Amino acid sequence: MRSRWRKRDLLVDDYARIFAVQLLALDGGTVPDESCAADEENGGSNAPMRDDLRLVAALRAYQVPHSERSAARENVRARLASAITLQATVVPGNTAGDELTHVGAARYWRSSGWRGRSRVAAAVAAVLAVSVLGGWQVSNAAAATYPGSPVYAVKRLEERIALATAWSDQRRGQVLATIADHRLYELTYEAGQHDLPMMRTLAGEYDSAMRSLIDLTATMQRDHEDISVLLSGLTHELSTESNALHAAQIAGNSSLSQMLTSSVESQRHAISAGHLDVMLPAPGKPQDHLVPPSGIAIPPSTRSGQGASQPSHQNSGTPGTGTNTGGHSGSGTSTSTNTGSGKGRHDTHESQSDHGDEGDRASLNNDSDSENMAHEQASSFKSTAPSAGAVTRDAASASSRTARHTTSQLPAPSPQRAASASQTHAATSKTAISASATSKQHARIAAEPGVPTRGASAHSSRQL
Amino acid sequence: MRRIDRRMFWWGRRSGWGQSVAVVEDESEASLVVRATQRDTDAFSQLYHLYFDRVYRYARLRLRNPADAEDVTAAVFLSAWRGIDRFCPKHETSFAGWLFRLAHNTVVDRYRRLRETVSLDGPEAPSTDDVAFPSPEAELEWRLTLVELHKALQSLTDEQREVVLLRFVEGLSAREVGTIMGKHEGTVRGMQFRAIEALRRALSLAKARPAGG
Repeated sequence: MRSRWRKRDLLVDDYARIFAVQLLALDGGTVPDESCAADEENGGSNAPMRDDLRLVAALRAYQVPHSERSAARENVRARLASAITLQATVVPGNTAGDELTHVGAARYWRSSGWRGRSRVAAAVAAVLAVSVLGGWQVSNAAAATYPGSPVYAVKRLEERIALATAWSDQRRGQVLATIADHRLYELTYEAGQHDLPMMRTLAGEYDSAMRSLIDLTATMQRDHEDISVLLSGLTHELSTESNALHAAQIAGNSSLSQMLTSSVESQRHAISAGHLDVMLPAPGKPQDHLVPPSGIAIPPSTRSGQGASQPSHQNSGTPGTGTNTGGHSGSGTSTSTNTGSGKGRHDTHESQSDHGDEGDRASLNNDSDSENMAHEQASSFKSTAPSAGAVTRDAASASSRTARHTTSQLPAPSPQRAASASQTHAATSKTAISASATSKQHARIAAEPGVPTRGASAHSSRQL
Repeated sequence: MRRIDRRMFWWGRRSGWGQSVAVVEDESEASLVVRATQRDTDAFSQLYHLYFDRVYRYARLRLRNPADAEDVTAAVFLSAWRGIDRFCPKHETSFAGWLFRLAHNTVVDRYRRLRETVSLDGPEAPSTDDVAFPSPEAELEWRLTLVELHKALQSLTDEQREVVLLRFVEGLSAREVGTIMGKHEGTVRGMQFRAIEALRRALSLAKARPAGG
């Protein structure tokens, strides 16, 4: 085509210019045939350009089928509405603690001058230096931190580095699951602090991490790759989320339950769209086989003690089987020392302990079973990528943290119970090195009657 | 030819050759963008309605199935919402250009993750739900043309397809397409002719194939 135009002493650039003008005319509603007709009357042949313009007109007229387009429009709108509600529509203020959080950071870097930036950079460098020197200990400490903590930035940095250096899809999925676990953990903690903007931010990040994980799993499934590990992690996260949602509903924390409900809906949609074979938790019901996260200690959205005014949930736990619905009974609530904060399984444990030795044994079984399951899931999830770094380590420690929270809120365990729990705990956490270290440490502390765990004291003081 | 050439040359000069020739943003859209940069959800919602069809069409033509296109579209608008305060009309060529740059990046990222190329099977044939035809013959002609067009589009190289989609389907300027693809404006101009030539060739092959077979 171009050679033909060169023969007619018309340069390609000229052709391009004319073509661009014709395109402009096309946008104005001119038919290609008409625009080329004038030239043909003068003996010129614009056939190639006319064909090109026809082609462009056909391309411009292309429309995606109406039914598909409208369905997609509604789906995307629903997803956007959910995500935008969850995302940081309210950016946390520039308080000292918020400056280094994920959403606040970008704005802070833009708004602050070089002096402020260098100050933050120096702080981050110092924390990094400490983290390098402190190694595992600092990383472990960072893993259990909350937004606003000085080492929280280290935790976020570790996550980003781990995500950026993930060498395979499977590894990336593991990191995403860990990040999601962290965000959910922090979200339930912030629910206790009644920090709504931060909750929104964390909920958005949690949902984003979960959706990325689901997308990645779906992609790997499509590519016929092994997704068993990712599915296991995904199931674990969904169960944990379901438990947190249930605990929030029991506690009457409407903001948290609303956020988690939106998140659950969004993830269900993504899972069904990705054709993933995941056992979805039943909506509104806790998962018997998993330990709820720190959401157990979720206080109601108001501080007036709605937990006591909630309708009592029947304890369906069968003695010896270790199954229960995680609800709280009236008698259990009355003995609670943490009055005013709606609780899930703690109250169940207390009520079971009121029923005598059988109930006590059931509670013990339940405790150890759920801890075992949490550790098994965490360790199986990370078994394919052993000891890769701090974030991998966090996957198990985060699960163990949930178990730690469960136990920490209980009355002081008897030595026999604690020893039994520690044996079970130590036996099931062989594959996860850091998890076993954490759990053994926890078991050792818990074995001393009347001594609250370190996590318990820290967490309960924050809750109070 | 010479006369028309000269006339077109001056017309081109007047209209700002190389500038946005296809998308002219009206005042209301500009004000919507300004409001959206201030985190106005209503304004962003209106922008969503304005641009959904175009972004979805772009994603649909680049990716294999509707679910992927839906995911990409959602990701594009979510990224747009997150980064709308970074959009600067002075530096960016247009809001459409900025949005399609997000779409391009999202699709590239998607490709990287999916590790797939657009299948020659292509997407299913477009339906005729919202098109009125004077006669069944016209419908058949329209459908055949579009199906062939769709298949031909899949036979282009990635860059050619990108140019065709952004420049001709979405009506972005050569400069905007260049910005999106990380290429010079002149390169895009050269590419667009090779692309359309290849497309025409593919279309004629597509037409010749059934007759030959």
